[in-house]
Amino acid sequence: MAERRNSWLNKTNVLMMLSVLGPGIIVSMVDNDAGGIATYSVAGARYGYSILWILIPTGVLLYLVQEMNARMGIVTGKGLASLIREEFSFRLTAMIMVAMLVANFANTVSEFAGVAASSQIFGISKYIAVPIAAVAIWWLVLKGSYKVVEKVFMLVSLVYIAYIISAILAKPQWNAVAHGLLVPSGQLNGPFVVMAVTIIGTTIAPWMQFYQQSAIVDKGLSVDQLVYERLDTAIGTVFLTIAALAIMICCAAAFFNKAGIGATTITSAEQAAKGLAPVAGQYATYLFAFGLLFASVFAGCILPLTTAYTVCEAFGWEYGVDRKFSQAPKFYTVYTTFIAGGAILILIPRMPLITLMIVSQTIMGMLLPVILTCMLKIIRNRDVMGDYVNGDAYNAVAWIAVIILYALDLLLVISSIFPIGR
Amino acid sequence: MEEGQPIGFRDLLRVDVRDATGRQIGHVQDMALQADLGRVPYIEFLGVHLFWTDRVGDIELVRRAEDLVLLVPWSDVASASEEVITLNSKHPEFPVKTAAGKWLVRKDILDKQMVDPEGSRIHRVDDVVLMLQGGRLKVAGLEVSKGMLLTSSALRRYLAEIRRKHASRSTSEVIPWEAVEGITPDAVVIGEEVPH
Repeated sequence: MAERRNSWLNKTNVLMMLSVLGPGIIVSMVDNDAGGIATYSVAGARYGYSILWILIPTGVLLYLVQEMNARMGIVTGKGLASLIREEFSFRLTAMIMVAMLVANFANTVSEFAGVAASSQIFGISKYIAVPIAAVAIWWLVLKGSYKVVEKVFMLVSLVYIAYIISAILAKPQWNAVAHGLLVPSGQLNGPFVVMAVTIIGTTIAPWMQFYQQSAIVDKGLSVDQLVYERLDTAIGTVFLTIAALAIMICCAAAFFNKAGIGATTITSAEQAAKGLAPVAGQYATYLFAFGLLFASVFAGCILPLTTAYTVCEAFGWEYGVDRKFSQAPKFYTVYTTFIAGGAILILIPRMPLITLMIVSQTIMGMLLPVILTCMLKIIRNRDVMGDYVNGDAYNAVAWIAVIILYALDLLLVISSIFPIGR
Repeated sequence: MEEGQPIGFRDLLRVDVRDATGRQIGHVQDMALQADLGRVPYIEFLGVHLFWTDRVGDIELVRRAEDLVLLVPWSDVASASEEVITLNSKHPEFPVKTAAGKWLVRKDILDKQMVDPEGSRIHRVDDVVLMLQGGRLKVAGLEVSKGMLLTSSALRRYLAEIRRKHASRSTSEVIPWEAVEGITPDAVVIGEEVPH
């Protein structure tokens, strides 16, 4: 057994694994963006440790979905938008593209809102921080190769350690944390259900499926690297879950059932960061804000990039981070427009951010079932996937997971339109 | 369909197919031409999505099969219009061919990525333009227009008519078939003469 382990863990395999790691980790870490941090913060503040367990089945669902994307990308060498266009219809693709454009743009604006809010905690004006962040991420993708961009993204992923330290500084009751994580419990009322659904909806978003598959294609992974890409996806899912848990634990320890801090007064990540100071010290506030700042910058780069990949794949335009502007002008135009538009909009006073987020969440909610259905049909098509189609058991589990997601998703859309318990 | 007038392949998809007795037996699912760029690109086969059948070629089925796609030689087509295609044969006595050595317009060309000889992506095939020539349907070119966003084929035809009347039909939206240098499972390769 030890011999077998040694043979697998040889230098070549380890190097191969390290070269493959990236798309799965990046997509998961970016999922903890400004919106995600806000959701996890509010969940921890309102429901304490009792809601932690929801992240475990959510992580399993996320892995199932993203693994299928990884497999489709590697086996076909095509992004999800390309496959949907080729296997379904132009009109369905066009409708998905329009929905993605609107939802991703609204999300990009909210990422720059995260940059603005967190920079102000450090005493930096948003009129300085937002343009600098926008130019930096634009320059990185425009001038960097895929390898450089991916390394920078992987490095930025480390900022999520800030949340783990913040959680420790908040001095949680670890026994209660373990109980909340391992023993499912909850409340049979509207607000709790909506919060649970929002956590799942925030964690499994449609743009993730497009990004991971496109990044895998751009990276040029082959079928013999599938096992490593699965590992990449699993590591990403675990990291995402740990970061989300840390945020929830931090806010649960600091705000839940604390006299003088009404749990419902915490409604955003910015408020959570500021509120940590009297409870866990100024460093906890700075760490939380630091995490929010980098998470927002990170997502503010990935969302426009995903949109550019997706639109170009759907319409057949040249794309790729390794291409120059002159080689892929439409790819960089979409990317630039999203970054510039998102940054400019957030600097306009009294922007209706909440409305934007609700629109984005509702569109994403309606889009997810459509995309998952397309994915499950494509991945069972032997003409497309060859021997890498979903097996019967895997497919049954995937469909059950997707049907659960449909139901939760419907609830999320309804709750976005009729804000129960908010 | 009028002689010499272009028609989009998408407009013919799902058109009703009737047998010699006039009974509706299915709809148009695909069309095929010989996989040879050296030949005139005539449509030589019709892919019919049969609602049901008891026989495929000479093979009597044990039980009735539904939703099968059969490739019928175009020589078996009695008449073709944008509303209905009628076959010479009576259901299920169709002469059936295999797809080997043929390009299927929907499966192999429509919506596929077009690339230049260096492999750079140009656009996707938004539609395949067909033309009636000497009573036979021929592939004229590959359309790259955004007109497909219009959901009404009637409106698309109306717009095409206006362009024709005003002699302003944009040829830049149609890549002539002659510019096609190859068709691979992943892409349609276009020659260097075509502007990006």
